[in-house]
Amino acid sequence: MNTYSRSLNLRSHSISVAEDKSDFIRVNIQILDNLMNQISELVLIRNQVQQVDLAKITRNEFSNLSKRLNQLTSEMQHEIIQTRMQPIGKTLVRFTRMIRELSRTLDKKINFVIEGEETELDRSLTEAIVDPLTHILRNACDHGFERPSERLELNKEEEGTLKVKAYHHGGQVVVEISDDGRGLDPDKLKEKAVLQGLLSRHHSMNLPAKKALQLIFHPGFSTADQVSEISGRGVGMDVVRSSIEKFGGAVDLSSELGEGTTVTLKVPLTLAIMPILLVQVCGQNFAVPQIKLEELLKLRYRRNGVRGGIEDLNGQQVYRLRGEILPLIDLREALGFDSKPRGDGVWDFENVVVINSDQGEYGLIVDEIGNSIDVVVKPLANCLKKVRCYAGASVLGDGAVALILDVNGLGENSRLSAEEPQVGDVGGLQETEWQDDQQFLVVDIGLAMPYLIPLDAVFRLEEIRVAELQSTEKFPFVSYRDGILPIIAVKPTLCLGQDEPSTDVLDVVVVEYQGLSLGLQVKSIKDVIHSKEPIDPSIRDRRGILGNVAVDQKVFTVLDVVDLLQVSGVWNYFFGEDPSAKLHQDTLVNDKTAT
Amino acid sequence: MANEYVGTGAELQFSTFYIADRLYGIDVTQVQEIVKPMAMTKIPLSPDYVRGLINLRGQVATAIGLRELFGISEAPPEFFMNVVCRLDGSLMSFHVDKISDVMYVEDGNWEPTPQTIPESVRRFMKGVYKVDGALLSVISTDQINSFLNRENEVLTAV
Repeated sequence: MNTYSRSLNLRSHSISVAEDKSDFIRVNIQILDNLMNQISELVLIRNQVQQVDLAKITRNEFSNLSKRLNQLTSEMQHEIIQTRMQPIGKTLVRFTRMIRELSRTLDKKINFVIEGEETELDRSLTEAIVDPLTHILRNACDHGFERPSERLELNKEEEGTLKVKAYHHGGQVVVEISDDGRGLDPDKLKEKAVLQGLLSRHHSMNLPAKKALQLIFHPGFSTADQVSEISGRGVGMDVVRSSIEKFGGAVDLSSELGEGTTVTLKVPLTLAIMPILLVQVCGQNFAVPQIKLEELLKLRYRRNGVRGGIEDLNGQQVYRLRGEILPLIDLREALGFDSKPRGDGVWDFENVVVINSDQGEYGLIVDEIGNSIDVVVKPLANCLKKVRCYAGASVLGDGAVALILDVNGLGENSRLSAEEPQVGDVGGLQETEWQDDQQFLVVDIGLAMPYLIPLDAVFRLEEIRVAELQSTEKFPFVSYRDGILPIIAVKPTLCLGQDEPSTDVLDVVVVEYQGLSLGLQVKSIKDVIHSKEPIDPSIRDRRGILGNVAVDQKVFTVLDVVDLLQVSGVWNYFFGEDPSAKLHQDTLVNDKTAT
Repeated sequence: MANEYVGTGAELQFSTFYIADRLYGIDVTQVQEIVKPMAMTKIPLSPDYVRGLINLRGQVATAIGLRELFGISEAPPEFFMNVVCRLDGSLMSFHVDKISDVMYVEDGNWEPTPQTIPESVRRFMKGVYKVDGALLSVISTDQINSFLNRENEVLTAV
C-alpha cells in the first residue's frame, strides 16, 4: 500500500511513484461478496415493485416492500463506505520515525504512543489529515515538552509522553493528540496577542482562559519567541484549522498550564455523507452540520427583557450561557425573512442552536428544531456562492431540497450588519482591521505635550470644586450622583511628577468602568480630535499608555484608561476587587477604545 | 464558440421558447431536457434571478428565471417550464414562459445582434436567425454562465 512506502522526508520523491497506485484500493473480498448479495436482493425488490398491481396492493404489502428497501439501502451504504475505509494506524505509525528524529534533534526524551490504530477512516481523509497532524506533532515536540532536566525539576518523568488516540464518536472520528509538557499559558497568549496587535488590551482583559487558548488559531499568531527550524513561524495552527475544516472537520484545543496540551481533531467518517440537524424558519427547512453543533437550548424570552433570558446588548440579542455571553443570531433576520416575533404570549420560548464557528460560539435562533439525519451533500452552483450563507444543498426524504447552512459565513454576515463587534468571541480580534474614525479627547495633564483619551471611554466631563473634595488616605473623592467618584490625578499616576497645587475648580474626565464611575483629574480639557490612523502600540515607555497616534502630522500619546486605573490601585482601594477578575458586560462600554 | 453557427453550411437545431412573447432559442445540444414545474426550494438572500433549487431525480438544479436575468420587468406568468442545461458541471434550470418547437435554421439566415438591443439581453445573445414569420434570438448558455460567474466574482471582491 502506498501509504507504507511514503516515509515523510522522502515524500516529494515517492509521490510520483505512488500516484498510479493511488487510483486503486484494496478491498476485503468479504465486503465485495456482501455487496454482491445485496445487489441481487435489490434486483429482486425492483422486480417486485415493477410487477406491483397498483389497484390490488395493500397498504401492508407496500409498507413491507419499502421497509426491505430501506434496510437494504442502509446495508449497502454501510458496505460501500467500508470499501473506502482504512485503519488510521497505517497513517499514524509513519510519525514514529519523525518523532524519534525530532526528539534527537531537540535533545528531548519523548515516548510516542498510538492508541486506536484500528479506527477506520475514509481513505481520502486519512491522507488529508497527514499535514495537519505533522504540524501538531512538531509543535508538541518543539514547544510542548520541557527539557529532560527541567522535567525532573518539576517532578515529572524525564521522558515525556506524546499520545495520539483515535476513536469513533457520534459518527465522527476523533483524533486526540496530547502531550504532558508545559501546557499553554492563557495570560502569555493574551500578552503576545496584544503585542502582535491582534487583540486590544480591553478585549484581552475580559477574554476567558478558554477563549484565550483559541488565539493560537489566529492567522499570523506565534507563541515562539524565536523562529526555529521546526516551528515558530506563525503559519501554523490557523492553517491546521482551515485545512481540517475544508473537509468538514473541526479542531479544538485544551490546555492545563504545567500539565500539558491536548489538540482534538474531529473528522467526518466520509466526505460524501454528512450528519445534519434540520431546523425550520418560516416553514422552510435548513440543515446545520452536526459537526458545528454544540448544544440545543430552549430559552424563555420576554420582550421586556427578563434576567436569565435573552437580553439586549446594544441592539444585539445575547444570552448568558452558564455565565458567558453568547451572541445570538436570529436565522430569520440573517436570511432576510420577515422577522416578526414568534408569539404573542407573555412568555415565549425560543429554540436556539448553539454553534461552534470559526469566530467562536454563537446561538442561532430558529422556529423549530427537527430531526437529525444523514444527507448526501450536493455542491451549489457558483452563482450562489457569493451569498456565503450556504455550504451546499441536499435532497431530503420527501424529495424536497434543503439548504445546508455555512455557519461561518452566517456568523460573518451577521457581524457585518452589526454596528458593534460582537462580544465574547475571538472574532473580536478582527478589530485590528477597524479603520473607522476614532475620536479622542485632548487633555493637558500639566506637561508640555497634550495627551489623548479615547472618547469612547469617556462618560462625562465634570468640573469639581476643590471644596467639595473629601479625602481618604490615598485618594480624594467626591459624592457623585448616587455614589462616590474616586479621583485619580493622571500626572502622578504616570510617574511624571506631582501636580501643581490646584486652583479652586478641577477638570475631571469621568470614565465608566465595570459599571462604576471614576474620575481622571487633568489640568485642563482642550479639544476633541478625529483620527483614522490606528494606534501604534510600539512605543510604550510606561504603564497607562496605549500607544501613539498621528493626527495632522503631529504625534500624540494615547492614555490607556483601564491600565491607568489598575496602576493607580484605585480600584482595589475603593471596591476591593481586581477588575480583570470580573467578567461583566458593562466593560463593553469601553470596547472600541483600545483598538 | 462564438461563430460556430456561421459559414458551416450545416443546418442547426434550436430548442425554442417564449419569454414575454419573444422567441428565443438555445442550441439543442446544450439542452439536457425540458421538464414541467416542480417543487422548488427558495434560497434566501440570493439574487432575484435565482428562483430556487429543484430536485431533478436526486440531482440538485439551480432554477434561474430568464425574465429576471434579461431584466424583463413584467410580472411572470403563473405557468412556466424548465429548460435544463448543464453549465460547467452544475445543473441549471432556466425558467421560460412557454416551450415552442425544435427549429431547424440555416446559417445563411444568421445576423449579428443589432446594437439597439438593450445590453441586459444583448450580453446573452449570440445573434439572430430570420425564420418564417419570426426572429429567433439565440441565447448562449456559455455567456449566461460567464455572466453568473463574473457577477459572483465582483460581489465577492466588494
